[in-house]
Amino acid sequence: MPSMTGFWHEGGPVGAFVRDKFPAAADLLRSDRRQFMRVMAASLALGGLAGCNDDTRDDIVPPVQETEGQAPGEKLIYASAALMDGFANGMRVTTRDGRPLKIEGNPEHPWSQGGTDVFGQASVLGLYDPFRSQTVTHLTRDSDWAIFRGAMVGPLAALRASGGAGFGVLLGPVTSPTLAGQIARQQEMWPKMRVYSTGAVTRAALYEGTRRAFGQAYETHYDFSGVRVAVCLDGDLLDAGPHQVGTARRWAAARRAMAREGALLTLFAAGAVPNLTSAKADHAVSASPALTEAMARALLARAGGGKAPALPDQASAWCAAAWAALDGARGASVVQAGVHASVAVQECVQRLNAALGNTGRTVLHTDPVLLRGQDVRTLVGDVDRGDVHTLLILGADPVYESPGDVDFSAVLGKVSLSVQAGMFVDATARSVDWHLPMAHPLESWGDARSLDGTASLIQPTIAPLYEGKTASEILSLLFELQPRSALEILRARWADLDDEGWRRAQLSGVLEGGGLPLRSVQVAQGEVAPAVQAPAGLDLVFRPDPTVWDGSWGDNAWLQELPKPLTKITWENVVGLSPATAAALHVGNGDRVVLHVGNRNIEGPVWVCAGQADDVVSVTLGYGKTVAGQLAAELGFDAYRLRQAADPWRVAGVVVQRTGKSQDLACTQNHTTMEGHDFIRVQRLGEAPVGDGDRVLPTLYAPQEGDGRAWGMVIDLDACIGCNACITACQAENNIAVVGRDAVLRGREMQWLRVDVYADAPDEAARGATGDAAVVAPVRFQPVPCMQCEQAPCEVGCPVEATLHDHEGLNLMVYNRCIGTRACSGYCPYKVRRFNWTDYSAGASPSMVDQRNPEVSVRARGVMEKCTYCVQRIVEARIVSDRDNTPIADGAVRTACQGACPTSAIVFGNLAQGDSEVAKAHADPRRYALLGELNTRPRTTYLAARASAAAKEG
Amino acid sequence: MPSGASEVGADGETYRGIGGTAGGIALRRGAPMAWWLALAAALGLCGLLAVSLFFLFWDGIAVWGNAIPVTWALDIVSYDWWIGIACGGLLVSGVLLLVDSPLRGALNRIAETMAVMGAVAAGIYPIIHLGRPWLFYWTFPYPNSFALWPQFRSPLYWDAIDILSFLGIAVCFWFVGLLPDLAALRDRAWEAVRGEKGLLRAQLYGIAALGWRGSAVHWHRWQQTYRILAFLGVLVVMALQTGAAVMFAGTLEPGWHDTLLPVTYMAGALLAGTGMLSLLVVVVRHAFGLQALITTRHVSVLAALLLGLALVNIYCLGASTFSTMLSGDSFAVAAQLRRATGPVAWSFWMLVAAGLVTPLVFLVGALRRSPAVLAWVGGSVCAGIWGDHYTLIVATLQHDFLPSSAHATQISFFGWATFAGSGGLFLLMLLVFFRLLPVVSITEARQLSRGTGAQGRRAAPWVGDADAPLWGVAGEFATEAGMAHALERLRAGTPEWRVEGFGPVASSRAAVALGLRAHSMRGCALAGGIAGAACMFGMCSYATMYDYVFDIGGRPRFSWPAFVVPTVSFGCLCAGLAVMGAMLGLNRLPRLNHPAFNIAGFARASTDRFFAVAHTRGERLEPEGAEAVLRELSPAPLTIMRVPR
Repeated sequence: MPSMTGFWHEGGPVGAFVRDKFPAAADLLRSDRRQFMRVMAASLALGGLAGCNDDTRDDIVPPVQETEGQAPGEKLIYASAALMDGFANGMRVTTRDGRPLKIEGNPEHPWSQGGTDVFGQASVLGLYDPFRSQTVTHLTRDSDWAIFRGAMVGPLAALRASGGAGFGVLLGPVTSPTLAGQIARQQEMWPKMRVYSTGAVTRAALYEGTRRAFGQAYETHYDFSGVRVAVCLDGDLLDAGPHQVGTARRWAAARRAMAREGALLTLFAAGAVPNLTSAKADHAVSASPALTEAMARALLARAGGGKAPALPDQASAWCAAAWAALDGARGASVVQAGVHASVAVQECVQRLNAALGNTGRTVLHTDPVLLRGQDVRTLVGDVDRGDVHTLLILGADPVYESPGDVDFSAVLGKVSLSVQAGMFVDATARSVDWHLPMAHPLESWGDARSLDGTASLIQPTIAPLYEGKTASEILSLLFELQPRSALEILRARWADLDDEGWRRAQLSGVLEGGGLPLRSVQVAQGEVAPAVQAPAGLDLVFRPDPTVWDGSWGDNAWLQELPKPLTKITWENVVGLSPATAAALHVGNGDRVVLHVGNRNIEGPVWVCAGQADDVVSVTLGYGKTVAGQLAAELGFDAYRLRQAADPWRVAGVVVQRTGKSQDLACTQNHTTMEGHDFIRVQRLGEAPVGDGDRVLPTLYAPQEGDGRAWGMVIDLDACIGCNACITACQAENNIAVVGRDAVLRGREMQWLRVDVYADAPDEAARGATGDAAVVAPVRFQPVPCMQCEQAPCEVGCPVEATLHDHEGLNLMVYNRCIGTRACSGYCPYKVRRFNWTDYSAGASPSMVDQRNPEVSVRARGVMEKCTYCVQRIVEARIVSDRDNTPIADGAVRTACQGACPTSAIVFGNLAQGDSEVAKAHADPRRYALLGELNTRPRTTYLAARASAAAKEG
Repeated sequence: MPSGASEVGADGETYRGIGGTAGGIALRRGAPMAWWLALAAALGLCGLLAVSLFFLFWDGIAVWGNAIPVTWALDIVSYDWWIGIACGGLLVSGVLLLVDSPLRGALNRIAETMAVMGAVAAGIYPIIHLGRPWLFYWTFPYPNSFALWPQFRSPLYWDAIDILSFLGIAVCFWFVGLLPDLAALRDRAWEAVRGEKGLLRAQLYGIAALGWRGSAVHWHRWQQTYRILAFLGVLVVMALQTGAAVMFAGTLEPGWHDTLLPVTYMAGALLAGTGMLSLLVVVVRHAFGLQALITTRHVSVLAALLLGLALVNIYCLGASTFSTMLSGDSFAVAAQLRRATGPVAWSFWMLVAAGLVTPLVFLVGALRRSPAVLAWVGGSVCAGIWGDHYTLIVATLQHDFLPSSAHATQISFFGWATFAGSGGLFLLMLLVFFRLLPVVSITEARQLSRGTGAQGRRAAPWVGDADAPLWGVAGEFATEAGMAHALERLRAGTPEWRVEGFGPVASSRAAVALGLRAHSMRGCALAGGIAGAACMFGMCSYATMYDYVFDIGGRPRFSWPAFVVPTVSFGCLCAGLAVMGAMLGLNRLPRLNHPAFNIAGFARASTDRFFAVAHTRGERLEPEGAEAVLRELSPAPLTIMRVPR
């Protein structure tokens, strides 16, 4: 839209809007956007906080600590739910002095079972995000709810008269039973209204696969108890998404259970783009989408369904191995395909599970959790025909996230009235007649379903900071004569719950009796539709971004600076190519290329991804936003432009054109080989233990006297899936600053905890011919917090005793004593220390400051900082222990990373207490110390990853 | 008279000639265009330093380009390089003095000045490189209301004490050496005063000279003090270089964890110091036309020294590489290989090419005698040793144990600007020194020449104002021997009088004549040193054992090996200050007015005249007896005069 350039510019209407609405942010239109921290410094109007004293939280019951006469500064913890693409993950919200500060897992939640993901952890920052939409706007000018309601009187009266004819609702991903009920009721009243749904990470293929296999769309669930084999075909079993928290936890538990029996829950993965699933797979191959589909068909054929296509060698070998494992675990295996797999693969997977006897045992079905309307293409047609003239968009940004072949701006130009409700002043908000600010889940009453159907309660933990309203409230405001509050609407929906049931729901976060019943499914007759001959050339595949997802998290600074799990790139997306394809195209990391699909194109930097299928170009969604003045603006490239509505995950025949330009990528880990060392040890089944055992290296120094406690941490590398939830949890708990892309580029990221990723170079012998699958070298993750060495080299270096040991073995940092010699970092063999090269913390906007944990010092410029095992939590427990004269119980102190981990890979506690979980983990024969030969005696140790005995030579 | 004097230049030069040559540079009015151009360049670089420091203090270390894992980059490289040059300068001058080499006459002033100014250029870094530079004093043990101590086991604490001690010793050494020259300049400037013009300059030199009057006692104590300071300088250099090296060697980091590192460090410092000295010597020789004082012999000896030191450095590099490669420590081997092949390999090869190979040109005898080649090689080895520090620090930090943390560094503009600015500071101080002070030690050059005073005799013996209260009777001599002889006679002939000799050089015969041989300054130095060392060691032990007990890296409470380096260097500092204080105190300096200055023509006591004086202790004595002793001397004094009080 070249003609629109001026529109967005400083002098244009948007500029005027920003100047008017966000006086401080107006500078941003001019400023170099890389000066991101300066952006944060530009404080935005925060009148909303004044509303904190409203007594709107009288109805909320804090479940963990119930105190009368709450003392200032004490924690209040609420059970609630974090929303991920509309799906709920149960969580607990820690608040202090009325401010939600930190998200913890909710062990009582049947789906998430105490795990969290990066999105849940980062949602607390989203609440305080200075870029949030703060007021009603009409044609981008400030307005308010009363004026909006007044303006709606006429149009709504007309619609009421016509039974809703010409009225359309476009929904983002919605699982809320309450919202679904409101819409259903409105549809009854207005039979002619139309409901559409959109969502960048569409589950349409999943549902279509089940429809073809079983005659009806279902949601697919996995029960991992007893599962011995898992096979993923273009799978995303462990990857980010609404499913990650629950699935990863169940997978890890099942893998542990198998290991106790001396066996390995073997994971097979085949797919075009490396992801966490392929990284954790025991047998992974890369295969183009077409080949993956053929492999799915081949597996199905072995199970007795359909013809087996001819497969090249490597693909055939993988299928044989996978089939052998599946055949030996009938009824105790899982075959899975990800949201991005093709419909044919989805259908094959469903039929395969049925043929193996898994369906009904390990693979379960319910009705779709997502509220589904007609798709956006139908909406476009309806608007074109004039069937829809009034459009309400609820929680979606279709202008940005519609596929490139759907011109949603044109749709908005054709309707006579458009209203959008959203959390951000996004691309759609700039184009509609009315934009309504939505409340953040942390300030809302509401409900949502988890992927398994569990109805979860969303409780407000703070009064709305701005004028936001929930979707329920907006519908009530529009459709009801007397608008009701979100709580009234919610209680009405859950009228079955008596006060006691409601109270239980508030304590547990789960709305009892709200789950979805299991459906028993019958395989439909017929065969999987034959494969379509794929056109030659490069395949372009789309994936949701592991940190900003579909772009809806793009304004979250923690997530922008969070390294992508496999590439460790921050702040932007890349064009992924396999090493062979990159070599054939004569491009390398950072070379900018243009991708052409038809007459649309995008430009982005190349990243060579080991483990990606040849002749596949991968891009992630969620970048390339253009709304000026927001954090996400102008980061990365907009992959939506090449997306096609017909097949949103794959476009054949993309043309890659070199530009000759190159750029640096802010990558936090530049070397992924272990250089011949055993930083990550692998315990093969049946082999001698690889752990350190009781071996202790001699030392010249006498052991230090302690007070009987010895804090320690054990991280199970077999369970770690590299999801990064621990990093974001640590960032939230410890007030860790965000530094911006340029600083990351220089190596100045501040995250105390990092997850190292190591991948051995792929074995050339294991590479097949062109078009064949290729064996993917194992990828290992290793979270590296401070090792809390007993003989810490860092402490010896510090000339002012700013880092020293306490009697419980903690390697402490005394921030106000630090003068910034940085000797400690140079002396640290693990390089876990982070330095405030400039005043990062001072740059945060006032609203972000409100998120800070008052128990943790905010570090000034020139001060070194690092992980201290969340010493503030230890101190809290120690105070309670001293006060009550009781020992600190095992599990009473949980570090932020431990609490966030969806797979319980991190165990923390008192090593001196023989029966503690951490002491038990410490006794595991897989336990070893990283760089143990240096004899720094780290208190953080690791459990070796597991591998099958035969596989993975080299 | 030392045998090598003819080769080291001062032979045949008269005392006055030497004073004129060396002092004249300082006293000359106006400066050559080259000096002004160099000053402009130096000021420009200092301006750059000021701008860099402004942004540094405004924004933080971020402006330099340091990052994790390269937390120390150009800051510590520059610090180590500058302090190495300073140490090299002090060591060369100190060792030449201790072995009584005639070579030092022409070199010591430049070497000592370089040591002081190098230490200043280095000394800014430990402060400005801190994340919070305004709290730099927290590294020192000072009384504070928080009851906090520094962490005495840290090599950074040693370094803070070391650099302070080094600066203290270097300044004392430099100033003590300069003291007689300042007196000479004072007298020359005084002679040159025309009305008001030049008066201020003469007064300033006068104040700086503290009233030095070249008394034989002054000279005796001065010589001892100078030598003791030289010895302390050598010790403190060793402590400092060890401390700086252990700052790396004491860690576990691959490439740093090396027992040879203190030796390598010392060898590198000596090479760089000698290189910088060679460069400066050639520049000074050329710029000021000092070919007579700085001879080809100096040039060839410096060249041979560079060659020898380069061979020592080659040995150190070879030995550490060899032992690393044989060690079987794969991290250390990888670090060693990365130095030669990694992202900063350029700095390693800079060391090899510029620092180690280039000096080998001096294997050719003819090249050793070429000042131009010496200057070129001198600059080259400085660059080479800079490369050595860079490769040592940055190559290891960039990639130590875990490849996941490896991250290449990029020095920013302000990083380089700060380094260039520190060079500007060094240059500025050097240029001011060239302009105001003798670039070659007048005293040392005279000591070498033992030339004769100028001939000529006054028309008649002059007798001072008879009415004024009498201080003493002075005899003026053209030679040291004449004065010494007179002192002997005066001492024997006038027992109720106090006898003193004054002259432009230290006179051993006068010392014998006055019976000064038994007086030694060593006791003062020893007492000061032991007291200082005991205080430092006691403080470290007390704090870590009783008053401020913390678990630091699992180390024992009484970590005595960690206290040795600061103990040695602080002991040296205290010894140096004690001996310097004793020298000044015993000599009753500073004392700007003294009856000796009433001796007519006394200004020449700092040029080419010797005076033997018999003076009263306050009683009213008749001068005739003393005058008689002087009159009977053979050779007779040039003049005999009564000196008023």
